[in-house]
Amino acid sequence: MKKILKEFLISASLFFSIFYVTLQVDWMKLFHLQPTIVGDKLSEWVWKMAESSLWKVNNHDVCAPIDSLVYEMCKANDISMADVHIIVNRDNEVNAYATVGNHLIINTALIKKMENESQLCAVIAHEMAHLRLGHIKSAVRQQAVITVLFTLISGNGHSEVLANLTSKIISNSITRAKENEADEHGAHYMHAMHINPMEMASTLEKFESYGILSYLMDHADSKKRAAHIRKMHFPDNGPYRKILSQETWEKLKRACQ
Amino acid sequence: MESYEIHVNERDVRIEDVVPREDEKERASGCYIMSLVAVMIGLPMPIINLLATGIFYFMSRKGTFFVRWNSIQALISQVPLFIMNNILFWWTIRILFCFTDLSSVYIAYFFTVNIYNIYDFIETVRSAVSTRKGLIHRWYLYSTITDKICKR
Repeated sequence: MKKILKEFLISASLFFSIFYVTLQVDWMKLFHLQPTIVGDKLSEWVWKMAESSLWKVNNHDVCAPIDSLVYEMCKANDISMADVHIIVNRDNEVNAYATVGNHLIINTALIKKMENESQLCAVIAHEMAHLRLGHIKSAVRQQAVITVLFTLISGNGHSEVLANLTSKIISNSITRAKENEADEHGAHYMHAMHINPMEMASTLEKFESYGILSYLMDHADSKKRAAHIRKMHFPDNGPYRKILSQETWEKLKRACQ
Repeated sequence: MESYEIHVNERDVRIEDVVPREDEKERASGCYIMSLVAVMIGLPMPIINLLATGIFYFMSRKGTFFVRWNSIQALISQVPLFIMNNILFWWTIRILFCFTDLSSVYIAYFFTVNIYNIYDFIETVRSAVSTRKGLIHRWYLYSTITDKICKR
């Protein structure tokens, strides 16, 4: 028995010595690897597939006002414009979602439903907060793996199905606490750009009154979330402003018809 | 006709003193080949080689001392490999499914386990060849444990 114990200790010491020696090397630096390389590469691949199913709107009347709103939001909140990629997607589903590669997709049906630019800003601010707070990243990376498995099992990449899956599963994987956090941050983004942050609450209430099921299913308890925003206190920062002219806003709405 | 010794009622006889018959050599060598083939087929799933060696052990446990001794040594040699490869397998799955990030510790463990896998592979081949020739190839630690477990 003593011999076994002795030999076991020698073997274990040898194993751990080799492990200890290999631990001394910074492999990540040596191979120029990033800790999130697997998820990032998969996300890239999934985005390429999902992108092909989008009907990108390149109309100047749509892109320019949206870019202006995003630019103002980024400028007021010290966010680099290069970190967010906005895509307007021609789709009848009232939805907007953040997805792989810091892409923010806004469906034309959502723009059509919005009554004013503040409401649209509220949706953009909410989704941008998800991106900035890292809520999307982990969900997206996990979704990327699910998509890869789905593709491998089905043997082909039905990109439309994949794109839908991506938005749905990511939205559902975000917890209520994270939704509240994104609402709060989104309201602060709006406040910083001199837009009434209470519009965030109004937008949530309106979504409920519209009965927009797809959006509500993904973002449950809109009433409670709106109430939460209404309880927040924002310091006075002067009169609230409008970024787009009435004419530009109407052109945008018309272009989304 | 090949002659061989029979050590009747000698419980403490050493495995080296046994002169195996041709069929014994073949079966004993098969224990190691089985684990080799299982490693090659089921490399991503570390349970497969342990299962294959285990099944072969249960098939051989009523065999002669020579066959039993070698199948036990083959089985024991798969246990640490199974544990190490299992940790590596599930760690890799966690990285692939993004539950954890890739790190230097993972790569260090990956290299260490691979070194052990290569050592195990070489030793298994050597054991299979030696056993086929009727010789005993003793593994460090595993043969000592086998001596303790496997009595005539």
